[in-house]
Amino acid sequence: MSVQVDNIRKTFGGYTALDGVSLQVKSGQLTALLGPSGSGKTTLLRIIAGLEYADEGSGRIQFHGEDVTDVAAGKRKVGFMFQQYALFRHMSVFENIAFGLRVRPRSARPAKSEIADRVHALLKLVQLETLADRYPHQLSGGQRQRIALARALAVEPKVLLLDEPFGALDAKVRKELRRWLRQFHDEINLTTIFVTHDQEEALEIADEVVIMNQAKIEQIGRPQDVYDHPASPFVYEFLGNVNVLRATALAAAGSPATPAALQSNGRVYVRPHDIEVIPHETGLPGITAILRYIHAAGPQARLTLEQVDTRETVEAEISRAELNRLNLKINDLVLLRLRQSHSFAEDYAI
Amino acid sequence: MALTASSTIATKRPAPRPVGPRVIRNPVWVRVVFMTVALLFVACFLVLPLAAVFTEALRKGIGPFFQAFTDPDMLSALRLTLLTAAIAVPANLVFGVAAAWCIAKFSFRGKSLLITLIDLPFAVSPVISGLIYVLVFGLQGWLGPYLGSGDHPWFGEWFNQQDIRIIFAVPGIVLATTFVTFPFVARELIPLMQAQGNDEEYAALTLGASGWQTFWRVTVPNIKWGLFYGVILCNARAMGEFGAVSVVSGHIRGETNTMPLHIEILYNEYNFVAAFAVSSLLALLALVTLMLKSLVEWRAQKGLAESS
Amino acid sequence: MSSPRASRSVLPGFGLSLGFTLIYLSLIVLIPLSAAFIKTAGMSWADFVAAVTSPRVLASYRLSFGVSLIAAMVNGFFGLILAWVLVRYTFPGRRVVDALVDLPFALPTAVAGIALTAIYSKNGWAGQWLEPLWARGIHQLSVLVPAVDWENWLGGKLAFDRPGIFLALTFVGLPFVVRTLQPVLADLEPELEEAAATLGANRWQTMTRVILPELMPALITGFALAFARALGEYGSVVFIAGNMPQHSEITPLLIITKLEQYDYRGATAIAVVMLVASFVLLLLINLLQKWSRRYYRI
Repeated sequence: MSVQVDNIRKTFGGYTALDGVSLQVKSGQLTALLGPSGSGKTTLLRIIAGLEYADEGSGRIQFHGEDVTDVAAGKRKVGFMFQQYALFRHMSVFENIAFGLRVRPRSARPAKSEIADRVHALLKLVQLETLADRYPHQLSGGQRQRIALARALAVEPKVLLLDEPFGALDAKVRKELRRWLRQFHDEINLTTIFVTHDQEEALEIADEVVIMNQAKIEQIGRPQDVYDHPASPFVYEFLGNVNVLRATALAAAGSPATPAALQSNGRVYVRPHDIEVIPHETGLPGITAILRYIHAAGPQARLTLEQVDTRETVEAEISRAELNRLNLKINDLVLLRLRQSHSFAEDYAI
Repeated sequence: MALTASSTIATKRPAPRPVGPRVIRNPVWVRVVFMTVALLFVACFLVLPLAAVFTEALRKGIGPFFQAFTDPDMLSALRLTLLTAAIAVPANLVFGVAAAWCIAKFSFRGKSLLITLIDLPFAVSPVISGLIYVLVFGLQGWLGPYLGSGDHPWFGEWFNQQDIRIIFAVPGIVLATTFVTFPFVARELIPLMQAQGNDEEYAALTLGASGWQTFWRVTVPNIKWGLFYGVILCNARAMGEFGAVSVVSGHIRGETNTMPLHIEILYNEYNFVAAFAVSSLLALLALVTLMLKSLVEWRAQKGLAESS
Repeated sequence: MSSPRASRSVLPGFGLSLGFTLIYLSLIVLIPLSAAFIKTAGMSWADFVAAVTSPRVLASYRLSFGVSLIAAMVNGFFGLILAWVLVRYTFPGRRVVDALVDLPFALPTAVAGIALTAIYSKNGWAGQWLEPLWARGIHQLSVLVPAVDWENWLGGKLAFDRPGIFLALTFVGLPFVVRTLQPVLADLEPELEEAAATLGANRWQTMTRVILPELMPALITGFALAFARALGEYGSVVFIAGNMPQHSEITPLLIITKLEQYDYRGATAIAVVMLVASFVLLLLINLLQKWSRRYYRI
């Protein structure tokens, strides 16, 4: 089922959480709402779920063309998973999952045996068949997350909404579950929107990424598109490490990679791994810099360099093999060349 | 929030951290002095009075002790005490849940003022708690002329016929008791529900539960121990209240005497054994209350340890 | 904008619960309490001043405030030690003692009153030993400093005199200091003491300069709570006080006496003075707690 959000505004007292946000989510897709904390992404998710009302007189929410703006949360057919999971602590895993079915009016309520079958099928789906009688406090973080997912799915939602689904987990479990969620989504093929502040997470598993900042949407697109063609300095900076160089410095050094830069605001954005480091003796065009520090722990070596002209710092990332080949020492002079860089027409405050 | 010590289970810590054998600690003689002073203080002010109640009650043996409970006036006092608690406690329970629901689950202006107002009865002397009801309902008071005095041409006549009396009668006792026990349940539940947050209720709503289903199946099970805790404290105070009830009661033997008032009468008649016998019953109630209270705190701490 | 609701919530029941809360609060608490003020407003200023400043009334204020203050201070001192012992030391029966601290909350005041009388009166368990000691002490004070009427000031006996009031008020205020200090003490990091020790402070310096200042807000709050409770206490005091006008008659008792003489205006006027005093205390305690919360949350 597709989800359409039109011009939604939300203010809390004097604080604007959403400033006229519009968004279209295609049926069956896994969409990430990505942004720093306070960007409004969780508020947007809660408004889609019906847990928060948008401001009086602001836009509409539609599910598959049907206006649900005034429909209560329980009637929207959404599955919502909370950041801390909000499992009912006094109910067993079985009772948690069965809750949504048991609270239905008698006429719509499945028979007891049917409820049991459904719960067990869901437990099987999330691969936790053996835990039916446990209580939430007896589960690990990853197990709780999957039970919360099973509970949300029990009511057969048309849209699945996940608030920071991996936020409460430690780094290792997080990576495992991330992949599991992607596979799981492919299996059940349900329109899913999840909120995250982790760009790696969003880029890795989402079909489409919605990048939010300061109550507005900055960019919507497929992961590779937003990464390769960021719409603003904010998106560029948010999606990875970045160096900001002065276009004039590049031009003075006769760097070949500055065509668009000079006509913009005079700033050029470069990712550390797009900087090529070559020996100073080659005499090729490039920015002259002094090597100040080498961080060699990890698969890539990170170099901290100081531009000779501007005394500004630049970070470069090169492979360990490349580092060995160059045979660099601290305070060596080197030349920097840019493989790829970005510049933006407007000067955004970042 | 003020005027009771912070003995709510919501503010109880998850058990003091284990105090292992530390190098930095007070010298032994200091510890001995502290322990001695503390325990002597507890003995003089807590253990001794408690022991005195039971010893004095049994001073003349088992026979006179039990005889005190066969007195019809005593039985009527017991009935009135139970009746008063049976009305005041549920009334304050319903109020406490309603107040905690709107204060903990919603944000609105004037909330902290409301919390302060709920605490107000704890700041008022019991004697004044009784006095204000005399002012409202007594013969000299606002509604007095309408209630039974016959001064008013229409209402007085009607109330006279219905024989409705509030002050120096059972309704006054119930009202005064309700006033002095007013904050107990609310102040227990408010911090507890605030600490638990709204996520579980929201989850229930997204799963299709109605408001009442959410309340009964999700909220109530989560606050049941806090509820129980508030109710036992409220009940102990309701059954033991003396000052406020004394002002509004009228002290009619066998009619408007609660147990604490009956104790006073017996004591003033130098019927010490009977006075202490009745007291021992109330002291027993206090001990049971303390036991249940410790039990609930222990459970709450266990719950905290489990959920963390 | 005038409605109290600040933001719409999807949780149901706000109007119902707030409406019920406000109606019940008004009926049980606010309207009856306002009766005292409205009744007093009907008095002329001169009548009011005369009612609340007659010699007998002034004597009762002095007694109630004075003895409540002393009882609260004694509770502050012993409560601090008791809380320290309960939090820091482990000993058999600690849980029982901890539970017993709440006894004054749970035990009806009338029962406490007659029990304390049974213990501390002339023929009582402890009174038979302590009362002669007390009398001898008062006598010696009178010999040493004859300028002061010690027997009148401190009371010649334990029960049925001023010391009895002190005992009863100490009993009812006992839990407050202990219960406000306990959580603060439990949260006090042992590292703080260890840091002081590594900086060269001895135990006494650590206690007085590091620990005591940390506990101060809670200690003052507990003291104020105990004081407020003692000020209004009636049930436990009347049995042990002796109730002599202008000597051992506390203000709440005076209110009852006036009521029994059908002097409703006099009783209400004194009640209003006491209510104002309690509300000021309540305000101070709220401010104290706000202050101490900020103090702890650095």
